[in-house]
Amino acid sequence: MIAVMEREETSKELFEREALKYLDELFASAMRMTRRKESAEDLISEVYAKAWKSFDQFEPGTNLRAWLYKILTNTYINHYRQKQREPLMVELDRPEDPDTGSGGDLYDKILGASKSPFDNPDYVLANRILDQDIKLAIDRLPDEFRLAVLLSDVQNFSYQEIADILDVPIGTVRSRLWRGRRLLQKLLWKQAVAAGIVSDPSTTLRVHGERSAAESNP
Amino acid sequence: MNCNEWFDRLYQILDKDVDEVVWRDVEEHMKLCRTCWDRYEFEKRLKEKVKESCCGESCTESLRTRVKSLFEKY
Repeated sequence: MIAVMEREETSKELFEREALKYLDELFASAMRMTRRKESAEDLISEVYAKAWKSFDQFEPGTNLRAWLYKILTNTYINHYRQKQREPLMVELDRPEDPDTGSGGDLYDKILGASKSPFDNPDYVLANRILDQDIKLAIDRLPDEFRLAVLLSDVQNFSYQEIADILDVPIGTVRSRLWRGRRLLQKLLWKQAVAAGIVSDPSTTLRVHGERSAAESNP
Repeated sequence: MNCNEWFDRLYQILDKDVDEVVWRDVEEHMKLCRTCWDRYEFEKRLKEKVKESCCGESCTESLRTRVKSLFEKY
């Protein structure tokens, strides 16, 4: 009996230590899902409570990180998505807007608007598009695309792992990543135009010109 | 592999979700086509930038304490 109790305690401690390693990255993911610190903290508490309650269902040697992400995405989808995000969803365009053809290709658009070596796509991406621009664009993606993009780009899960976590076929993962990234680029482009980082040659906006005039005429 | 075929697989290439045979065709195409190479590099940097942007937030000590206390509870 004593031996059994000792073994149980050891596996619990091991589980706790292993699961806690992922606390920071799960919290960062929860922040991008809920967009609010308090909600992200509640979500993470719920995730760890569930993980702990279903600890005996976890098979040692399998992927604990993917298992925790599955709990995170399920909990988010079931409890947080509806009440949290709907106000923001209204302003979104449909993912494949007819006016953008492929649905937003940032590289081609920056290249098309480029007038000097300092606004070529690589330079703009490296120096003009800020972390907060990326976060804002990700926050504006519909859930199904955002989760796929986060799991791939940020968490580096393989397509098969993402399919398992989201409980969808692998073809759906490919399609969501394609559409999600196209839409992300479209949002980044719109934000860049609105911020005056690039000028959109397809409109009469003269943000860039006005800015240059202001800079040369203090 | 031509540019259209390459572009259709862009994200699978970026995420290494292609088999070895396709990957050889992809590499061969990128050696010959600067446009696709430049686009690939851009997409790769954007993917890295998305990761950097979303990794910064650490959880607070109060959340860590809260989560640890859950372990003691269950």
